[in-house]
Amino acid sequence: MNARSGAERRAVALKLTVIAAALAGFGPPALADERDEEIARLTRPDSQVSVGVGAVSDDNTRFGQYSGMVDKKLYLLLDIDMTKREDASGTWTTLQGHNLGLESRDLRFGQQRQGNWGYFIDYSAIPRYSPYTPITRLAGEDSQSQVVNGLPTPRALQMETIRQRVDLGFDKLLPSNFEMQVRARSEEKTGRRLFGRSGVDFLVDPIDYSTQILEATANYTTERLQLSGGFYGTNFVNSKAKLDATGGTGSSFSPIALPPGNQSQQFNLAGGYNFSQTTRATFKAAYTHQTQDEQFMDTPASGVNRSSLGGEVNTLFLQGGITARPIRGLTLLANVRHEDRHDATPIVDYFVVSAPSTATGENEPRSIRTTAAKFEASYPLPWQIRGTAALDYEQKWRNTSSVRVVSYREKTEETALRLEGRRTLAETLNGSLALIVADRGGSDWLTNFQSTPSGGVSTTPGSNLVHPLHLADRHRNKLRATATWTPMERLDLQFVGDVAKDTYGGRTLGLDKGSAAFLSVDGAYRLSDAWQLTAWLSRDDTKADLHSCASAASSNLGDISACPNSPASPIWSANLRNVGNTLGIGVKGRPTGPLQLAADLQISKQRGEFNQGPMPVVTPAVTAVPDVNYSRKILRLSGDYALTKRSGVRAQFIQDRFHTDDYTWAGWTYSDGTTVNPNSDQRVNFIGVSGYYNF
Amino acid sequence: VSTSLLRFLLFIASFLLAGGAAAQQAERKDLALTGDAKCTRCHDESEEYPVLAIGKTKHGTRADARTPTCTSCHGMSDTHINKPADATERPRPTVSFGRKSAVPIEVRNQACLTCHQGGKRIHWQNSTHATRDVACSSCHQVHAQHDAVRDKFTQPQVCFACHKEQRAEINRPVRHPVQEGKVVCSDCHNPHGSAGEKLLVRDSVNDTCYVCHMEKRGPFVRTHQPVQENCAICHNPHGTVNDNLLRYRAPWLCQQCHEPTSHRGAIAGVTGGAASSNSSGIGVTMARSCLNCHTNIHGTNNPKDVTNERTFRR
Repeated sequence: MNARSGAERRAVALKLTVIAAALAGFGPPALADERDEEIARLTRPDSQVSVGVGAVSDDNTRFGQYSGMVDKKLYLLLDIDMTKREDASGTWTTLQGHNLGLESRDLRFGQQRQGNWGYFIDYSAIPRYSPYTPITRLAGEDSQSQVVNGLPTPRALQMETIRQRVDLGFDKLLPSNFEMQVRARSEEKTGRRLFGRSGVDFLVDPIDYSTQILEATANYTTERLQLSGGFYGTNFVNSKAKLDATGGTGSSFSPIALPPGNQSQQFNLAGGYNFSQTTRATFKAAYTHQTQDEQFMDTPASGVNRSSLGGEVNTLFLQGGITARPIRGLTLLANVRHEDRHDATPIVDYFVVSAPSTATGENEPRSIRTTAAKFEASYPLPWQIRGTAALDYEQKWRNTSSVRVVSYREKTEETALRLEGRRTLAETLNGSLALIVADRGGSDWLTNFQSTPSGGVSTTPGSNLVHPLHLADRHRNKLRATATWTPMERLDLQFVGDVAKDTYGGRTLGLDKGSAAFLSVDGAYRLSDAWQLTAWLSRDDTKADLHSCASAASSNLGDISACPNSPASPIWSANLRNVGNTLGIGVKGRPTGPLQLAADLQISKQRGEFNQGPMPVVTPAVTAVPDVNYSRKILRLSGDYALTKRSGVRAQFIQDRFHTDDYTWAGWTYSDGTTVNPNSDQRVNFIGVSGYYNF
Repeated sequence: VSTSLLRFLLFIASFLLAGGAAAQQAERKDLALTGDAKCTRCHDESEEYPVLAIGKTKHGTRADARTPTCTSCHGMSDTHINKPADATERPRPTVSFGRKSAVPIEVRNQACLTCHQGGKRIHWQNSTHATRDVACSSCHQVHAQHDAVRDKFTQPQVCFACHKEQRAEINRPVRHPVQEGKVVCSDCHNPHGSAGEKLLVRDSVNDTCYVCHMEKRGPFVRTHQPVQENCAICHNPHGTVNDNLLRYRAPWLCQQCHEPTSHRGAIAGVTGGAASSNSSGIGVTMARSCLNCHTNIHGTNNPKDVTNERTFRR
């Protein structure tokens, strides 16, 4: 429920006193009419249309990144939210349109006879403007035939993608506790994305995707048993699954394969059964058949009698869970899920790799089996605290190829123990404190060997120096604390704190250790019945220590001496760190009956640190990467003045400032001369005024 | 003061017009829900928590025989309706949902589950939300026409009431369009529970990402193992400072897995060294870093290896 201010309550109370008088049944007819009208107004769905104009002060790439307001000009502000109910039949008709004057428009129409049938059609567009503007002579940027330096003079390319999506839905309540739902989606995604190729030439990824999704579900629901089963099918088509690029220094890299079309069909069944008021079991089973048979964009080597991959992935998903309260206060939970992703793509020797190498010419199907289990028990303790002990276990098995480019183990196992105390029902102070200890290990590491000229496995080791981050042994300690405190009637405070430390086991190179800390404080203070002040502050600090070396011997068994570790090529470290601070302050209120005001300021700052060393002693000297900083300040002021009971005006002012000193694109020039403007500074003002009418 | 005086006078007038006690006993009409008269004789829109707006919601559609009355959710509340003579304060309803309610969370939630179980809520009871004492009313405004959590423009703020880290992340420079209401929490997560991990709408992280990013699904002639296993190994979907929602920027992200032979262990720098992509220096750091050449990092369907491009370069 929405809490009302005192002023609102008094205004409504006056009207309802009139109702009270009339409800006695003996009031004058005028009072009875007013009563009916007032009750209808309070219980009938509201509708509103809003129209206005907004002005953006400057061209930008951040403020309008997802709304499309990237140009300095006027924009139509048009919204409609129409909700009508025919009370006699319970038929709802809705028409909702948001941002109809912008590229990011939504429009949805639906009808529903509640308790019987319903349908809707929904259109939504999602633009995305890249913050980066290439200055390039590339020709044919939207086509599959691009020419590096094909234009006489460079020009700025606006990099934008847009998704245009239509969703259809139909619901029908059937006899005997059955219900049917059908959802269908068709989406077109077109536009440009930064791309390139070895050389290094600048290219554009000419996006022209089409996606269809169909989901049909039948539900059966009784007090004890609930079942939900259906079909989920997807189809992805890329109209530009190949890119030809001529000119430039990387001309041998053409044509280039772009994402292939693929399809999937899934049948699923989920259910729940209430054995009693305190014991419930759930399950889900799903089988997915996924294929990829896009015509190859280039003719395979002679002897490969295939025109497409014939990719096939079959996935079986099973889940079972039970929750119970066997004795007063004790809650138990057990849950197990298993996913077997079997990549049944035929293995074909597509090409000859000059041996020795870290790969063969065979494609590498990826099969993955995941089994995860969770057991949890909680019991009430003194001081209104509920204690919880939980054990999480996850095992992953992955297949691998005979020749690998990275170190590998087939199985990982992670066990996590969580102990938690939680207080939720006290009046002034609630919160929780949780300690999580997790260990990940796994099967023995496989030794990498190089390939033979015939595509087999030689006895010459490959490189075995790094344990990949998602496979490495890891010990994690995590402490999480939350608190909500109401020290006085007008003030609410909320604290969230997280500290986690990771230690990676195994080899000298790769990830060594990491940590993450997060702290957030929120406050809300009711200055009066009419005014409220809110503020929040959060800080996050994530670290990861990484070691590596350049030009390690390509044949090693994990001995760190494979690294030259010389002044010119040292074993180096990068102590990566991301620090973020975000502050939000808001005030809103109703200084007079028809006027509402709100102000909101948000300041967000992030810093990326790399802390490299030692740097190689070479000529010319390598300059370490500097810290990068990002800053964004957004001020929003808004006002709403009700002219009449049904109409009013709104005004909004936004100032959006962004700055970064990111080194990434500064001073970078592609081999074809293309440069990229990162648009590092932005200061945009937006003013919008609109009128609304309720009906 | 004038408002209070006017209210008092109107009450007096109503008693006079209605004939005093006889009027009090007249049968009252339901206002919003079938059978709500015994509640709305006291509770109306002048409450701190107004009740009549429930009539604007699906719960208030009286033509649908399934819709509830007040006591369907709040319990019979006999002592609340008829205050015992020896009680100094009026007892609360049998089931109350406010922040100061002492009613156990599972009892409050059962009031909703009585009708709303099954379908996408089948897995509610073993969801993280249920086991962490989240009440339905913690997120849903049952008495309001516009339930903030069911509106994609306001939903994230409801979720951020607890999920503070995600609130900070969506304010980072690289993010999904959450603030614009284009990709919201419930597009990826089912807060009512799911069979898979992280309350995701599909059974795995990747299957959830593929709903919008199906071009990454493959399978490909050359596959990148972590891509097939879990998108979240490299990406943080809630927001980062690195392009493409990468957890760390290249080359350091890549160096967390890849062996340091050849150029792969090159130390990043912004000037000096060799400018090419093959050794220490700016070639492996600037612009898109490793992705300058390895453009098809999610996998490539190229069946050839003419110039050693099998490493996701063509």
